[in-house]
Amino acid sequence: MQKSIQKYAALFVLPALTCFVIAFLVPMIMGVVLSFFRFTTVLDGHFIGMENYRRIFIDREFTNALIFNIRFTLISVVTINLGAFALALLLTAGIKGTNVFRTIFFMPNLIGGIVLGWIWNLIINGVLYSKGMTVVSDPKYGFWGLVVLMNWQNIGYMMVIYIAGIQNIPVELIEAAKIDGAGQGTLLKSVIIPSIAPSITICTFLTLTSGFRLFDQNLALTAGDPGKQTEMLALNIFNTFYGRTGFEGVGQAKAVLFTILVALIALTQLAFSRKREEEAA
Amino acid sequence: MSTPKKRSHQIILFVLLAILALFFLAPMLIVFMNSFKSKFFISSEPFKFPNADTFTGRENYIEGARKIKFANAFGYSLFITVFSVIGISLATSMLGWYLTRVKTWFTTTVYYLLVFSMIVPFQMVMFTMSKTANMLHLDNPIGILVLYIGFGAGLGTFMFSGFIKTIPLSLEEAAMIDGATAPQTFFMIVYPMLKSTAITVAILNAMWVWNDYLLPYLTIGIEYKTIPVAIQYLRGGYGAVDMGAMMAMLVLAMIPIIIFYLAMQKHIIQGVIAGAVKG
Amino acid sequence: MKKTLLLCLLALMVVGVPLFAAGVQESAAPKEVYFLNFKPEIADVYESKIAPVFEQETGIKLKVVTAASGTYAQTLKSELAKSNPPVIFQTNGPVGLKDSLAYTADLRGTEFYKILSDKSMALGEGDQVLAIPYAVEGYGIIYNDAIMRAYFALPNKAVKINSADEINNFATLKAVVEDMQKNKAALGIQGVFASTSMAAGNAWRWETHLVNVPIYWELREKNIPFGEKTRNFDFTYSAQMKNIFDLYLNNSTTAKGLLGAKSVDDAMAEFALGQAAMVQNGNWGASQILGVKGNKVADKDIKFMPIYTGVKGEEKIGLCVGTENYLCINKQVSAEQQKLGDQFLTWLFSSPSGKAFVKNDLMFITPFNTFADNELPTDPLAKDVIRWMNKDGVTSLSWDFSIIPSKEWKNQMAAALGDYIAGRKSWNEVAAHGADVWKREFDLTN
Repeated sequence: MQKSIQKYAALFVLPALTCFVIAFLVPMIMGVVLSFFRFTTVLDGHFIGMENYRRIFIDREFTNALIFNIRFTLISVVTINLGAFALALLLTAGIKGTNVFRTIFFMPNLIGGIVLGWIWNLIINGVLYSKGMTVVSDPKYGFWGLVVLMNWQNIGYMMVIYIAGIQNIPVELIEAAKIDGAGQGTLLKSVIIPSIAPSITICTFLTLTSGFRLFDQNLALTAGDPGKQTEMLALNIFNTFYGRTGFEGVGQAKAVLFTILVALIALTQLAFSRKREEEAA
Repeated sequence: MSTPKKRSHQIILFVLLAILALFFLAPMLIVFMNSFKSKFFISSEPFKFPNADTFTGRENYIEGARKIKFANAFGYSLFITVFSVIGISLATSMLGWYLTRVKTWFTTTVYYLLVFSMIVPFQMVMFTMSKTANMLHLDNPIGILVLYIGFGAGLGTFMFSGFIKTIPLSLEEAAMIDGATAPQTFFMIVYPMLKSTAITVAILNAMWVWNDYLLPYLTIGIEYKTIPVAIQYLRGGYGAVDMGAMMAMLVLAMIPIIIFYLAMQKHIIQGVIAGAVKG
Repeated sequence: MKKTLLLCLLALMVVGVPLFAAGVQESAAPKEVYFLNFKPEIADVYESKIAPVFEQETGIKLKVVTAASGTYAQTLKSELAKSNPPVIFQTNGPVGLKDSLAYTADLRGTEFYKILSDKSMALGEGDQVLAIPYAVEGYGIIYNDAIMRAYFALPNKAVKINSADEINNFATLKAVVEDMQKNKAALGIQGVFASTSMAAGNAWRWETHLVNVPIYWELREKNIPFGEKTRNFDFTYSAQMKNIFDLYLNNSTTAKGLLGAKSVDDAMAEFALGQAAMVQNGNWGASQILGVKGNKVADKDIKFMPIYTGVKGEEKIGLCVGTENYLCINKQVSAEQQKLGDQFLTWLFSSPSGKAFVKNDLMFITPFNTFADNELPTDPLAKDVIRWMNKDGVTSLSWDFSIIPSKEWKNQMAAALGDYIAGRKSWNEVAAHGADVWKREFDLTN
């Protein structure tokens, strides 16, 4: 059968593959190559070896953004998953109006990053106005503002996944544990949480990778202010490309490092989680 | 997990959830309320209800929509989202089927490249991609569809492959023994079975494309502003943020997606779950 | 289900296609000039007033795109690399010109160059003329003379002078301002100075214009002539800059913590609505005062005074006068398009309708020989700039900020000033940072 399918390779493969090559593959390879060049448009570069990578650390922008990313992502991953799980528990308890609540909690996820950032820009500025401050007066406002925003946007989404995970737990397992005299706490620890290990994996993966790569919300909420102190990696890279003359190569080098970081984080988290899943099963 | 027997437990939990739900809705409601206030009174007192002095009726909506040409932005967003989603669903289902049924070093490599692309942050390719897009004259609302199909290829192919793996070969083999060509087999037999995955892929991609900012900003953002690009342009295009117009436009930006959500809720939730499970 | 889906799709296509097709049409117009505008304040004028009239008179379509505040350089870079790039664009001086050298056409043969009165004002490389200035501008401290008169009429005022014209150094200014702030209730204002706007993209009044004053004094002291690039900047006059900056901050309509959300527009509105008596800005800001709904300031009360900082001999200085608005024509577009660009610019600055727009709506003081005296802008700010330029015994400060090594330096200054306002940096740290980054940026760009 394989042979007869292969006859039509062009039809099945070319549409998606061509677009993929044009939009992603070629730019990706060009990007990696150009990170070793000094260039303005993509065709006028000259080779400068590791100079761009060295220039990344000429000031503390990249490092500060990295630290910000790490702090932000760690805190967000924990708060979002805890919050989502808690809500999932509440919404699988057969309370009246569960579906309406589910609808409401999920809704923020539909709204785009830019719109989201502006909504919270208004709210946070409003709250801080009485203190005579704005969201960009102090980096900690921007930091926590982003954390709140990220939570608001994603708790609903992860909650839905947790609900599905919980609903998939075989009833017999729960019943058996109850017959054995398990209270709510033990039930949670020994039955529920291990059973939803795959959901925990996927939710952690999603919040980790989306938090680390955050851009739109960052741009709209603070645009990195005050003075780049709330600038996350993605925004820093964007500003390096488009905000500084002669730094396109550095921007590309930063992007390469960024990609490696995200890939490492994703792979590590997945490997770690799969191991735990296997142990839990 | 178990239904609380006690009625009082039920009530307490209900009240708790209701309060939380209110907190969740509050930001959107606050923006809605402020969209009817005059722009000078928004930043300083966003939590106050509009009164006789500050109420401005539809003025913000009219002014904002005029300033950023919201009608056009809506049109571009709609066109690009609908046709990207159709394009991605079609192209990636075909590719996914091919990659699953044909096992060569080529298909394996392509598959892993696609999976890899899902993790790569957009900043890695944004500069080079916008240049190549310009060179190939893809920087218009039709050309951008190619770019979206390219970026959507990873997730779409991954999900379709995942589902197709669970379909036994027997049906397809039987069809081909009977003389059906590969396209016939795919469109007549396989594609109908992919409906639920196709909906999932469509919804996940629709949510992404509709809300996307950077890709349209870099490629078509000067001439064709989609909704997110238009909203962000309000920030600096006229020297200062007109808060009134901003509030009104935020509301207009949220309405379509909320309507879509309420209409398609079931599918969206299913899509989210299916997307996560496959992951 | 399938049928409805199909119908929906068809409906969407019917709606969507014409909407974007209209957009696609725009870029394929036969005779079109694409101008990338730098000034958001007058974007509307180009789009709704000038473009239609130009098309009516010449049949050429003018496409104006305005870059968002603070994003001109990046927008320009991005647009120039595309297949339908701007025909006319701006540079802000010798440093900006360097970034665009690959795109600037030699303007010696153009009609536009012919109308420039003082040819030495143009920028170029070698013999080539690459950038022509189109607006001479002046900035300083704009004040509302009606409020000033009310102050000087107060029975318990703390100073001996009797009118704003008598303020001619920092010591006097400080005394007046602080006394006015004390009496703000009696004067009906919320503060003497309008907000020191620090919102993203809105800090240019400090990171460029205000900083020009210490740069000017230091360069003159070191005998470095105007326009000559130098690494040798130590911020020796930072204390003087602190004097005036503190005055702005401590006698303001707005608390320090809220400045990060204030834009230049907000500050100009505060002045126009009579909430502030003074605001630092230039004559380009006229439309932002005169155009505000509820503008309370009479034309005759809108005046300028120089930015005094406490430098010895500053009684003899005037406003900061110069230009950072130079127009260039893109040499990478077709000869035909370059000609159209030339045609538009010449039309704008020499035809009767064009000149009327320049005078009444754009309000530029131009360096072109096509403007008679009665065709100069008559808005109060332009008039006052001209008055100061022509005043006896007073020298205007040149715009030395044109040699700031890079935009990054300005960004860093703005960030440092923001830190200073929030109390995270001392002024000495701001000055040290400014000096260090200047040298670093100079090395990076030369």
